[in-house]
Amino acid sequence: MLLSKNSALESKDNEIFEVEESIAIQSELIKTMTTMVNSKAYVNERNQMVPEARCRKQANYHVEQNNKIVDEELSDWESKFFEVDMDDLHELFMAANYLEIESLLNGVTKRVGDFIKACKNVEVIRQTFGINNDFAAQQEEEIRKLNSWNHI
Amino acid sequence: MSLKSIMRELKEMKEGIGSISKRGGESKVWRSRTRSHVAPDRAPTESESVEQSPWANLPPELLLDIIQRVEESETAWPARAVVVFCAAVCRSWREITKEIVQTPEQCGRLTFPISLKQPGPHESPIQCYIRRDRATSTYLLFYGLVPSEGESDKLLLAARKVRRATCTDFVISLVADDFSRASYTYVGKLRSNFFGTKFTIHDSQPPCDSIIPSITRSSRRFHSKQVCPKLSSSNYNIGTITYELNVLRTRGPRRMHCVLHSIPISSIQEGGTAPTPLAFRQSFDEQLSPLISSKGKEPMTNPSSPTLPATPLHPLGSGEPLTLKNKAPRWHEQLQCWCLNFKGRVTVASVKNFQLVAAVEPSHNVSPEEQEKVILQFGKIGKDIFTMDYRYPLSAFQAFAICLSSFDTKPACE
Repeated sequence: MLLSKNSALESKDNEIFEVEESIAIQSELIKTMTTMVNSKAYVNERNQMVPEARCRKQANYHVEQNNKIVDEELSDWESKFFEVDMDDLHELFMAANYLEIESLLNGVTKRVGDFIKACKNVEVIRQTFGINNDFAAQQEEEIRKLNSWNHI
Repeated sequence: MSLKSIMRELKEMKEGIGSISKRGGESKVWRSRTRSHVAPDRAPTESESVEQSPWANLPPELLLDIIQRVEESETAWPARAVVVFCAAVCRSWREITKEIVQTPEQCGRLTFPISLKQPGPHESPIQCYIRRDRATSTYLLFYGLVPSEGESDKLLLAARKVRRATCTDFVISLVADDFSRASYTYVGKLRSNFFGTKFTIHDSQPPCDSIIPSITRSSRRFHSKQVCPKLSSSNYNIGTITYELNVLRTRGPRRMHCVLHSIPISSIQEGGTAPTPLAFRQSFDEQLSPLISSKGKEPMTNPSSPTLPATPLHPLGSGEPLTLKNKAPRWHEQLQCWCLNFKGRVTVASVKNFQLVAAVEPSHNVSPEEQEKVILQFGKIGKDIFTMDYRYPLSAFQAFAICLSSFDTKPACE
């Protein structure tokens, strides 16, 4: 009997999708869970991922990543993959963190870093990430005044 | 862990999802109820903060990873300004950024304004240059080997010479357009006596070893919203520089003697450390990161850890202060001039050029390597352009102040 090399993953919003096992185990979390259940390839094992709604996207990420052999194609594809709005990027980030997918985590971290580096001043960073200024008034004043050193 | 217990756990997780989402719903209700309460005027703590972007509340290890990568990739100015921006975005970002950024002694880079009051690295000096503007009596200290094309160099400090009746002051500021002593950007000053033979360096904030920070420690008990004590405009004498005529050869180089009251001689003994302030003035950062005092063989507390208590402070003056003297040049018979090996960093002969090394006695127990180290080097490379290279245990501010004294000496001692 041929054991299917696919695993079925169910997300929090009850969507089930199949991914190749070799891709599923890119997630350290899934890898750990599955190795504990069965050391061999498993058939349609159902694994719960509690907060996850982006599995399909990540599964796609890996499929494409594995398919792309040429570096240029890969980096082009990667930059398009990460061209999402900040909310989506955040979800991707949390998912990659929870599922412990290192390559995806690196990709998001780099993208966020690039966003930050492109900002010309503090206000632009806040706007980009939708962050509110939560400093106490006096600390804010002092930071602002000291930052005149950077001619902001 | 047995298979059965894993399956049970998975099952519980599945059932737990329902209850978790219920709890999530409840907590949402709780939050909205809190928002409508009339709360006493306090700075918002993290748990009751107003609607905040998820990007401000990232898991600390993720935020650390992001900001660390940014910091590691932007090591040179002006791009490095982005690291300072990160520390000004919001409280969580500030905490993480301050944790990541190392002192100049540790990493050889200048980041925050306070870097200018922290000791330089032990081995390779930090290299800067000074541009003099005679018309405005202003001196500007820039980060970089030499002036670059396009004038995009990072301005570190600015000084303005102010002549008074019986003395001259060089007021030192973080910016070139504000030399007011009451300003946040005021850093300190250099004062010379009437003859231009003796100078005192004044710091706008007390050195780590003074008793005054004990007030800071008690103010830490107050909530961060507490009104900050009025920014003191007093100055603290942290160093004295004297120039003496060289009596042997009237055209010879003068002798410089520099006593640094805030740096103990133990700083250049084995295992010694130099005072490293972590924040400007009585700032709120001091509530997160204690000031560091170091005397000789006391264990050095990690300056980037915000949770350690302040080490015991000693009254100013205990322990012998570090003294610097200028390295004696050699007379070059063929060239018929005094020479010092500036390693290419000084190219124009000038009586102002100097190299400072530690002045030690055998009893001080300072290694020969340390004694040889040029702690501060200053010299001319062009009309109104001078290079300044400094290293541990001096800070950029102290180095700049010492160099400024070289500009003010009167013909009487040249």
